[in-house]
Amino acid sequence: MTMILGSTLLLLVAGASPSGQIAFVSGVEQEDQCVSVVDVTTRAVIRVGPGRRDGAPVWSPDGQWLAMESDVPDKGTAIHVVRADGTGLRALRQARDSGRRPAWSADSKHLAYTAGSGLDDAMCVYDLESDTEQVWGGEKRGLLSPVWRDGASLYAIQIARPTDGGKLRMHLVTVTSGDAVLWSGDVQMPEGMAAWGVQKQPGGAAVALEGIEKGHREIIVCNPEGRAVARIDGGTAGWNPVWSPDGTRLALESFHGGRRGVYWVGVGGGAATAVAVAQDYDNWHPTWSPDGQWLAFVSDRTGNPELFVADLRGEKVLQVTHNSHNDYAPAWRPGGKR
Amino acid sequence: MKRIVLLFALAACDAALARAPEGQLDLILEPHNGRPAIVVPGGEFQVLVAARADLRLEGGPRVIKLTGVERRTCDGRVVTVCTVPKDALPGMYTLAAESGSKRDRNVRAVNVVGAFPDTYRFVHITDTHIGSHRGGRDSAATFAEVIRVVNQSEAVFALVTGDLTDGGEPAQFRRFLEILDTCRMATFVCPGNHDRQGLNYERVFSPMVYSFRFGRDAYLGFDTKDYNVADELGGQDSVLEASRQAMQGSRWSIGFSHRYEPDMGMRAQLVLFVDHPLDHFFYGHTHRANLPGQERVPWGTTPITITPAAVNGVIRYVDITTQKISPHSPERVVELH
Repeated sequence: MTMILGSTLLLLVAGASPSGQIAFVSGVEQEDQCVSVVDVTTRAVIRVGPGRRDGAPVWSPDGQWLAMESDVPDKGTAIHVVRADGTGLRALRQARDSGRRPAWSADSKHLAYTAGSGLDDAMCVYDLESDTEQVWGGEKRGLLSPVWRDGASLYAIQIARPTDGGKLRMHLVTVTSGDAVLWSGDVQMPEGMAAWGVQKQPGGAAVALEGIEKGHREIIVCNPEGRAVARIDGGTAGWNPVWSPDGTRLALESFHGGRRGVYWVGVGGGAATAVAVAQDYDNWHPTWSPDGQWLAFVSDRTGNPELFVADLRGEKVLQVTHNSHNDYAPAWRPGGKR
Repeated sequence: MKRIVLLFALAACDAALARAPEGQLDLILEPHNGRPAIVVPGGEFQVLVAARADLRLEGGPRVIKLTGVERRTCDGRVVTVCTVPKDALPGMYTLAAESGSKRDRNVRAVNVVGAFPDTYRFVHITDTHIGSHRGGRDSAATFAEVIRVVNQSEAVFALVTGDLTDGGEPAQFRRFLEILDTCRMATFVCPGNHDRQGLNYERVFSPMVYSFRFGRDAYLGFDTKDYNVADELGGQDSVLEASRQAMQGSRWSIGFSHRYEPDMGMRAQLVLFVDHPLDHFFYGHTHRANLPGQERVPWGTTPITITPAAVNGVIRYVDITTQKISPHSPERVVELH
């Protein structure tokens, strides 16, 4: 029954059109990359970022603000925030240089990010109302890619060098204001294992991440206790899981067929559905529309990376940006068109 | 006498058809003298042209007309899989193309080798910095001398890993090309941070990421001209993953790039050093050799070799056997005063 309803919804949406706004990074080269926002209906684009090698934009859950990393002279990168219309642009007053990978808290009032350099990265949490920064994780360093677990803790990847001087390991950890501890999951990390792409389920507690168990990356879904409840294994590398807004589906990138393509799969199982897959070009970096009926992604089918939107069957495909720039890292604004 | 003058004039006119006037790639996009095809007689190689073209190899007294299976890419370019005749003589060949009124020639684009040896030597050259006058010496003169010395070595090809120029200016790339073309062996280049001036590098040496086979061994060159190389934005990650997949089954998998830092683009590092660890990785950038503790990539097991700068007159030879990859000590081949 669920399957029939799902099909009916897909048929209905095939006659509809996507709407809303998508933030993305645009530039001819990295020096001039600027976070911009495109209206999906009118295709009008406005530049909102600092335009100094801007990184991937991240919407606040309330859809009011964008966060991104961008260069600051003599400080490496710093986290910046800006409203969707380009007003209110400011750099956070970070104590440490090189802020990276901002992640919004559910209440849109805090930003977590890493700062420092590489193996010495610290996890920072910034209170946007009081303009204050805290270092989380106690004395733990080498923390990357924060994802909010709840209001008081984060998931992160910790890079650790064994005391015997051996090669680096990557662990999934939970970070609080006072400590960072190994995540007690049963997705154990064998030699050389590198968990990555951690994403927490919207409205739920499951976690999707990349792991290596058969010699290639696969997407693993774990329950809050860390038990693996689903594995999405296309027999080849699976990257970058992205939850649908209702938390029932995962979009992902897979090399099934040779080139990187965009797929989605129901969390409960079943075969992955191809949305944008081709032999001659790549499709990557999916982001869900707020209603969960469309996926935006990057494709280089026209020669340079541009943004496209497709329905969930990949039948209706619309090119959203047309320019000589490289357009990357789309992020669909939460809450639909404003 | 009149006839000789006419022949020279024709030759000069033909040479002018090589690449575009500023040295950019033109009708023939691949292969070229920064990413040549290495092939045995009877073997195949791919040609990428901007438009459908008649293709031929020119080398010595012979012109070899090329035919092959064509397919058009999604952006309108044409890929042709060409076969080298079984009686083709070993050597460096010019690839020529003609499409309507448009003609193009990529010199030193195809290297026909008699057979792929199991044991061989290549040379690692890095940081030529054409356009600089460090220490009062013209870097172009130093590079020219480096090539003269390398031409007398047993090396079968050269990896030239970035900072080809000092400022990424078109004139500096043109000068680099002029000197590169005095090299008798195949030369594989990748970009460095000093080559980052608009799209100047891409216009001369695209693509930024590529792999090639030399017999049983596979080599992967990639772009680290920008510090955030291959971060989560880019398409390079796709090419790296696909290349690593395609390199499976090779005797040795060897990476080369301009630079390396442990906190550069994580996805690229996962692909290259964790998921499918390269057997060895060569780079430059620092103008010095490995420091103590820099023996391996910190993520995994891949050994790294850092070669000092050619602009300072130093290069490094590397021996490849079935048993091991053996980088020599850096070798000063040009005395700077």
